[in-house]
Amino acid sequence: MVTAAELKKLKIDAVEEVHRVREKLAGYSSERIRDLAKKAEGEIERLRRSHTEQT
Amino acid sequence: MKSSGVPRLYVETSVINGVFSRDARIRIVSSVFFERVRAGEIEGHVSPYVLAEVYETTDVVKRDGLLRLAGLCVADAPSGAEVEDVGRKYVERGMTPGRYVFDAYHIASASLGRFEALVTWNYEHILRDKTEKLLRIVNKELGIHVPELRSPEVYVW
Repeated sequence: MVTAAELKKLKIDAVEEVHRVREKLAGYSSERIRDLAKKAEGEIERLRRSHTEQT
Repeated sequence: MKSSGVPRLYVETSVINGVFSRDARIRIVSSVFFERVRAGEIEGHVSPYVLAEVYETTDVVKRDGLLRLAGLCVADAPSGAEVEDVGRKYVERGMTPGRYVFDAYHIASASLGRFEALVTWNYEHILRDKTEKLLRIVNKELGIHVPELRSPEVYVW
């Protein structure tokens, strides 16, 4: 039998990792978030092009 | 809301990270979820909040993998002042903790983007009875859409 307190200690690593980043981003301005998102979109495009060239 | 019977879902960052989870259940379900997105059986959508979180992943090799998965989704979920105002209202009402205001931004983006559901592995702050009940109350007060809050497991079986 697992208690509620023990259950709280069962962390999902995927969520924990997101929360580490999320704490950091909480202090960023909306403009900085948009800038990061644009950089991410640029990287996604670069990865797509490199995948297309390889295949 | 559905288009052509395909679920239109807001994909929160933990589902993308889930593909690389040490937990086999999380990893398998997240991978199958993205296979369904790739096959066009699920319409996944992400916001600039998701993209910014993925971009800030420190492990560069893993980040490329996460970006490839995010790239399977449509990057059209709303962001900006309206989303963040709604998100801050959620925090004020105790729906999600202020320390993780992005939890609230994701829910606000899914609400204002009128997505059928927000999918996440975050049982601690999002996939819980308190958040679901307050979401219905606050969004009704604001006159905005109420998305379902779901684990990706709902969409893989």
